[in-house]
Amino acid sequence: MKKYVQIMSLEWKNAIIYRTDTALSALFSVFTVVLAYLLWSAVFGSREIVDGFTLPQMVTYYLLSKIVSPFSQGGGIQNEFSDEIKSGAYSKYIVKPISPLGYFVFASFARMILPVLLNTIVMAIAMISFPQYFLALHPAIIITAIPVLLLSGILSMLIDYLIAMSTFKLTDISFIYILKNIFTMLLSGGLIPLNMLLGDKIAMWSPFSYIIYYPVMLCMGKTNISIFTAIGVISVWIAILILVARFVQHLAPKAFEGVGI
Amino acid sequence: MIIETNNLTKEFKYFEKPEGLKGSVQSLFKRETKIKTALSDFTFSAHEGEFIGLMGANGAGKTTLFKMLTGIIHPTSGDVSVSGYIPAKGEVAFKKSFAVVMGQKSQLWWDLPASDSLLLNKAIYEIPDKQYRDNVKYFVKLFDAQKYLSVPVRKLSLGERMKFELINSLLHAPKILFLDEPTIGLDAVAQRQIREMLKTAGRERGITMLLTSHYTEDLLELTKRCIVLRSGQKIYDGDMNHLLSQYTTDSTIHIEFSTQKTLPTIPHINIEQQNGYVFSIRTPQDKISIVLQELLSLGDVNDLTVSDDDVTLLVERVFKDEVLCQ
Repeated sequence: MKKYVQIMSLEWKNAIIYRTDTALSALFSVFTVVLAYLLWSAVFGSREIVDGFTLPQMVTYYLLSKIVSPFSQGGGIQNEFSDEIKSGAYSKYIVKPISPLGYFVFASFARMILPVLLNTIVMAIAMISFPQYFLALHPAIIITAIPVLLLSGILSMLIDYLIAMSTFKLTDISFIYILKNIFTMLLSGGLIPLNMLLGDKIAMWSPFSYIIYYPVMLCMGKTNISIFTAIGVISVWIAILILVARFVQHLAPKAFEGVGI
Repeated sequence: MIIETNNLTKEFKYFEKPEGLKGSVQSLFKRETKIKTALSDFTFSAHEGEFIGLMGANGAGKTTLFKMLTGIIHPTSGDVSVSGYIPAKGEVAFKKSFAVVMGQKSQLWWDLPASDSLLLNKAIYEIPDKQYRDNVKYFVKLFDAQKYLSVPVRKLSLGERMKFELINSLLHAPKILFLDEPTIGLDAVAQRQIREMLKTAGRERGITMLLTSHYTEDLLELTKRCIVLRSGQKIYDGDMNHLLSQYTTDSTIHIEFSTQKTLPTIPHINIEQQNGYVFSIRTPQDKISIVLQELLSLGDVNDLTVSDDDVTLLVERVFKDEVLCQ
């Protein structure tokens, strides 16, 4: 376990080196919320409610979804992993006593958690400074959403891992990433609340719903799905994905030709 | 024996694509699969503490052999045992028994000081605190790298980076070190330093080393035994100097006279340069004493040197030779 803690520590040290980049990206995320406010103000017009959302609720939805969005983006490690497979650098996971899945999950987690924390600080300042534009949130509810968020982060990492591992078969997977990013943004509720798009029933069983939509709705107190049901559904998806990931990891060395080294 | 292989063979499948756009479109529907044998029936064994050089032109099968010995790729057929383990099984104890350093693939974290990469390896190999401290102290001193420990890797020179690549790989006290082109791209001074340090580390720690390098000096200085591969086949396994002596055919005599001379007709010589005072003459090695006698009999000799062919030229001959010299 120490080795994976060390990996996280190195990822954080690396991120601190690029602190300006990290801080600026958090700062600019505020503009997305401002844009969402302007857009939805036009959509709401004189209406009080659209699909069960008031304007402050909708803006709060975007703000919270922006905070947790790093969980659906993987911090770029999937591209690095894919490149390592293509260039032969993946051999380091074969010659060293380290699991590629473990490395991927912990490095991804380390990369996700920093922007989430920074986004939280920036967004909290925005909420406190302009309370009239947002829904008041209860800290106790937000705390209950943390386990769901952590599990959804793991779920997202496993999806990314499997896509990265498909490089063994497909060599170039950039198109899969483009598709994955589009579908994840759409199906996780990053673009628009899922109930507007799919209705609650489909959203409940989809793994993507738990990456952004569900945690955000939970924080806003706007979901009928209990936290235990949510944790149960995510856990089942995680268990399935871990089984597939381990199977792929078992097959991978046989397909690896170490081209490039 | 710490390493043993028996009829080790590796075949790769590949596709051939006709040239041009038409060929690219055709290959979408129909591809011709071909098989390339990268290594064929390779049998060898290595004793503990031995330094072995692998020689061969690009594509001879050296790196393929390394990949099979380290478990990166699986053999098509044949047996391989390293430290008593089958590499393809990828057991943790096996992975802890060796280290690989590839001159063209860095294992260090680019933006962080090398000391952070060392800490990661400490955690990966579960090196006890005391062993880690002692080994860092020993290798950092040996490689004269103390002042660079806290410098980000991207700011180090190639030679300094390679020192840390080696320190990083030796920290967990591997029994075997696979070195693939460890001095590639380094200047002559850095190459010599790395060679000296490897020699000392290998001798003092009893490490078995397998080395590939296109720099003949690396092979000559570090290894006594060499294995020559050509097109995936082993063509020589034995003493490095003995191999090179078989290919040393000519010597060059450089002679300087204090007065102007005209050389008489001497059989078996080829005059490469002359200006009346200084002559550069090539002659077969078995005729050298006769030629020297003739030259010295002319008198007024100011300076005389005899040199064998450049070792790089010899290696080129070894690679090109069509005759198996085993």
